[in-house]
Parts: sequence; C-alpha cells; structure tokens
Amino acid sequence: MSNSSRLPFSSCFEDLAEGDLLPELVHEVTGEQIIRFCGAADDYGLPHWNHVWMVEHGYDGIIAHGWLSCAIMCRVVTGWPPMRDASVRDLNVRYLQPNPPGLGHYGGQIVARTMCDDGFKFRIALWGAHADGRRFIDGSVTAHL
Amino acid sequence: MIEVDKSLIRKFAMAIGDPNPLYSDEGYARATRFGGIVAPPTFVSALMNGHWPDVVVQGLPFGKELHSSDNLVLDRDIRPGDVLTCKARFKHAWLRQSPRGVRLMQSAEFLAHDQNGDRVAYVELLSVAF
Repeated sequence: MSNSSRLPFSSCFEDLAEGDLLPELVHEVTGEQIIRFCGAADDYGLPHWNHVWMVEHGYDGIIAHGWLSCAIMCRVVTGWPPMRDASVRDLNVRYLQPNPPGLGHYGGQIVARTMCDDGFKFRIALWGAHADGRRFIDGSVTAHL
Repeated sequence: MIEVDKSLIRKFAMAIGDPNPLYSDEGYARATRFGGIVAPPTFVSALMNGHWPDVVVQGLPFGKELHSSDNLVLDRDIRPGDVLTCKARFKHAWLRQSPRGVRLMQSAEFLAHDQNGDRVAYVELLSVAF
C-alpha cells in the first residue's frame, strides 16, 4: 500500500479515506510504566520486572508486556480525537520483537472504509517501530463510528 | 469471576497512558454514544491472570518463550458493573521451521462471558518458544 499524500489533519471521521495516515504517536515506555501495567493487568510475569532473570536468559533487561505494546499501538486510534468515540470490535496483533524500555514510534493507516447501517466501519493497519525503524509490533483493528 | 468497576478501568487506562476521557470522565462519556464509561479495547488483558500464559506449557527446554500474537474479538464494550466469568483452554501445539531454527508454537483460546451468560470477548493467543 502506498502512503497517501493526504495529511491526517481531518477533524471529522467522515472525511477519512482509504490510504490516510493517522498521526504518529511517539511514546517512551519506561520501567515505571511496565511496572504500573503489571498492576493494572494483574500480570507479574518475570520478564516484566526481574532484570537479573532476564539477563540470565539472554536479554538486556526487562521488556514490556505484549498487551502493553498492543494497548499503546491502539492509542493511535483511540487517543486521536476524530476516533475517540470509535468502538473497536476486532484486533489482530503480532509481536515481532521484544519491546524494552525506550522510545517507540506508532502509526496507523486506513486500509478500508465502508458504510454500514449505523455509521462507518474502518479497517486500520497499525504498527510500532523502534527509533531505528525496526518494527516490533504490527496489526490491525476494525473501528466502528 | 471479575467485577469490573470504574477504578479498574481508570487504572488500566492510566497504565497504558491513554488520555481518552471515555475511560475516566463520566460526564464526557455520558454525552457520547456509549452513554457512560467503557473500558479500552485491550482491557481484556486485565482479565487473564490465571489463564494466560498458564494455559500453555512453560518452562520448556528452549532458551526463550514469548507471546507471539493475539486475535481479539470484542462482542461489545466492557463497562463498569459487568461481572465477567473467564476461562481459557489449550488448543494445539506445532513445530515451525524458520530460517533461525525450530519454533514451538502453542495456541490457546480465552473467553469472557458476562452476568447474563453472553460472550463479551474472545481471544486466540499464540506463544512461541525457541
């Protein structure tokens, strides 16, 4: 899919078209956020808080939960005002690389837009990449507005 | 069984850093088509303690075990007041050959039903060991 030349400046979801890029979300996952997510998700898996254990198992240190990375990626949609009232009904996500604390660049692109009886349905491709451009997560959501 | 309340939803939204007032501001949420606070779509991950990754075999003689992918279907938005019953079941395992070696894949299903017995969420989860 080619990048659209349209800028993602629309203030209204009705104006969104296939190919439109959603505004990029730049977010730094910190050790604190990972620990906070442990509590919020009730998931205290060792990879997310035990630095020594992770180093013993060949990693540089703790990593974010897959679901945390996914939730941040979804904020490209739910955190963007034109799509704030979207109902997300399905979500597919692949965890491509571990996501250690650090900056991530998350983006999205409208893949399909269809009209339905009660509004619009958007299929949106999503991704997250490290600062060097390597994607560590990708997926898609269907959002109803 | 999990009783979903506003504080659980707000805590989750704060943890993922989502500023959408739909998850925390009752006044804002009431004025939307949702009519009240709803949980973020990935809130289903907060229901999985005791189910995932427990439902797949862990501690295998591989160097690493990671969460590989998820396919989530939300039948409706999760709301405060929902009382959710969750369960997971192992589906199957298989070996996959990759350029970097053999991968053991394990898949599982996770389901959440509400107080009326209606399904709220379905997740197909995949782990990889290598």
